[in-house]
Amino acid sequence: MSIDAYRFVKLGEDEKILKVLHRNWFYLATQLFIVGALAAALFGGGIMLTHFYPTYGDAEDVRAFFESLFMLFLWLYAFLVWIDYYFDIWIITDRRIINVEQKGLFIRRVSELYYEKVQDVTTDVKGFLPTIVNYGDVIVQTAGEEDNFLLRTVSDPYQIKSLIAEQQRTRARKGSEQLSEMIGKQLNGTV
Amino acid sequence: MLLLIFKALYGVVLVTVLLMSMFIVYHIMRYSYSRSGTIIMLGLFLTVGGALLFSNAVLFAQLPLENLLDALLP
Repeated sequence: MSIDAYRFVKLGEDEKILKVLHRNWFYLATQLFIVGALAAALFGGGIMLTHFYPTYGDAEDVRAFFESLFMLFLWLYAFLVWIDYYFDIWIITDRRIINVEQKGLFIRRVSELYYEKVQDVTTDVKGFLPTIVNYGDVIVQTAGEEDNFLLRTVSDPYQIKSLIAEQQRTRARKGSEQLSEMIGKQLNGTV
Repeated sequence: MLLLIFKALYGVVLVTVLLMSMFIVYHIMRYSYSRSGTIIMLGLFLTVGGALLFSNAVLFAQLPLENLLDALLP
C-alpha cells in the first residue's frame, strides 16, 4: 500500500513505514459472528413461531415489516463494526509509532509516539484462543505524563514487540552517536 | 391522531437510518486507504442498505395501520 493511502499522517523526510497493523481478523470475526447470530435468531425465531403458533402467520405484514427493520439496523451495525476495525490502525515507522483510533462514528484520534520517549514494551496474550490464533495487546510504556500506547488485539504481538524494541535501540544508538560526535567536535574546537 | 404519531415515529426511524448512513458514507469516502476499497465498500453498503431501506418503506406503506391500531387499542 502506498504512503498516499495514509494521507492523514504526515511522514518526515526519509521516514519509512515498517509495518501497518490492524486488529487481528479473529476480533472482526467474533464481532461479525454476533451479527450473524442475531440474523439467524431472527429468521429461526420467525420460523419456529409460525410452526408452534400457526395464528402468528396471520400478522404476516407486521412480521415482515419488523424483520426488515431489524435487518436494516443489523446491516448498519455490521458496517459500524467494519468501520471500527478497518479504520483502527497502527503505523510503525523507523522514527515513531502512529496510532489512528476510530471509536464509533464520532471519535477519531490520531496520536504518535517517538521512540525516544519509549521506556518499555510489553506483550499481553491472555487466554486459549489468543494463544492459538497468536494475537494480543502490545503495551508501549512512555516516559513522562503521556498515556501509554496500546496496540490492541494485533496479530503476532511478540514480533511487533521485537520490532519496536529494535527500533528503539537503533534510535538510542543513533542519538548517543550524534551526542558523542557533537562532544568530540566541541572538544576539538576548544583544544 | 394515533396514526399520525405512528407515522411520525417511523419518520424518526427513517431519519436516524439516513443520518447513520450518511456518516458511514462520509467515513468511507474520507478515510479509506485505497480507491478500490472505497468503491467496494460504498457499492456494497449503498446497494444492500438502499434495498433494505426501500423494502422497509414499502412494507410500512402496506401495513394496515388503522386495523392494527384498532386491534391494539380498542
